[in-house]
Amino acid sequence: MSKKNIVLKSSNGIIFEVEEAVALQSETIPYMIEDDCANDTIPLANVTGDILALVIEYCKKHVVVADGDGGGSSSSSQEDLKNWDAQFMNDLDQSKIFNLLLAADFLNIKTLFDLTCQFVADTMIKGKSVEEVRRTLNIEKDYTSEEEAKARQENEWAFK
Amino acid sequence: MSSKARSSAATKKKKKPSPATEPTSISILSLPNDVLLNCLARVPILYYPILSLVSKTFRSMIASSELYETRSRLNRTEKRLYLCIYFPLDPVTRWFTLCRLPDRNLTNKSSGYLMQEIPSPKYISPERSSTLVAVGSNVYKIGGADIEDRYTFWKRVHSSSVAVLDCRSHTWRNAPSMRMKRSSSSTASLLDGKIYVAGGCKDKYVHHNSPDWIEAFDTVTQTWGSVKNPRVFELHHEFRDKPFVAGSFPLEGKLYMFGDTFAVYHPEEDRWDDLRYDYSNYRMSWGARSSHCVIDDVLYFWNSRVLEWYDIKASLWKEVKDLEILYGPLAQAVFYDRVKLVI
Repeated sequence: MSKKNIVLKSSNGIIFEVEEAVALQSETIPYMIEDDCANDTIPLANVTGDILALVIEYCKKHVVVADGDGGGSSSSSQEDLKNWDAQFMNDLDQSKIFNLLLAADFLNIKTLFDLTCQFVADTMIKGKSVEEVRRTLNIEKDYTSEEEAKARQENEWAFK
Repeated sequence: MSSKARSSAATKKKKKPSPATEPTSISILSLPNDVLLNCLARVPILYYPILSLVSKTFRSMIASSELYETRSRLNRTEKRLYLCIYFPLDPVTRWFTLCRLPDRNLTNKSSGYLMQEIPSPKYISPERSSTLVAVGSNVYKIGGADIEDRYTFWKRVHSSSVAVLDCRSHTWRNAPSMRMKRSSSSTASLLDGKIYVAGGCKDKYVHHNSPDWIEAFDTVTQTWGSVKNPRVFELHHEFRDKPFVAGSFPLEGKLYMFGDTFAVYHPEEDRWDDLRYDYSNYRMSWGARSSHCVIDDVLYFWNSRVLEWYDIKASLWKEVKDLEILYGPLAQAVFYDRVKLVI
């Protein structure tokens, strides 16, 4: 059987041609194919080229391979995939992570969305103090000093 | 696979993207609400008090019911530890939950965890009750004592009230009252979504076929209903030196009830069967009236200095081995985190 390719176009006009199986990990793309009624290029107005490249890199790694294409991805064990995912996320800066999260949400790629959300929870929030969370996420304190004192009072800490 | 796509995907990550392809820099607060909820739902609840101090947006999200709906959808429900303390002359019951310290300061031997006090309204009825049942994310505080008036708060009367702590929002509400006023010596067991409450009422209700000596609260419909009286008390009060105290627990889909005699209830047939007065059942009755809990159909019982469990198939009591004991004289067993008992 010949492999069918799908052409995706990022918001800044970069073209990616991928195997159907890779693209169909997105639950949004099938609807876009139907809507366009053709094998034309599918425009992704919300996703820039470098984020789409990351999405495709992830989808290629996670595609369920029926026929080995000689790449290292064909026989990835669950453990390998987990390590690959961790490395993949670790290489990204915060802005890329949030953009990837938005892309995974828009393209409806559940495993990538879950992976990214979990990464945000584990590395940017969990185990950090109030100040550390603010610093990590670049959140300006929007409490006035009185409001913060009041909020802390409501969270009165006992058994110190 | 086209070579164009491959090279594009492969090279993009290593090279710095050109300005034209740079995605817009965004902050976590500019993510859509449902995406941010999906991130926060994956953070352990222990950290939520810290998050609510980070910013007002986080604070309102942490307090929102959507966050808890997202957690249940993601199967991210967690067991939490609660502690409730009464002081003799203080009208307020104090409630605490285990949290992370807001500012990590792990010097001076701190574990980084502490018990955070959660709001407890001063005059929600019942005032005092040690009949507590956890159902999902709610804790039911059933009957017990109400004060007669705020100026003589040491005078208490039996209460038919039921208060409910919603552990998601840490807010209290009242559930429909029982038909019977009961003291804290009542017993309550959760079985198939129903809370069976028995005893703790005046002696005259124990005998005769008083239908409300035991009653059951359906946590789904939030209504009270009748249950047949098992009549587990034989002696009339004039022959007793101690008040009537019943004990109960649920095990293998049945409700075990202990008084002077013992009975077991089959809910689907609405039928009580008498239990023999033998050594094993006598031990169970002792367990039911002391600190005990049932986890995964195993009954655990705090027997002075030993934690025992009941092997129902063999009708044998066995000791829990290799237990590191940290306890006080008034130990209360609670069910924590599916595998841990806090005593």
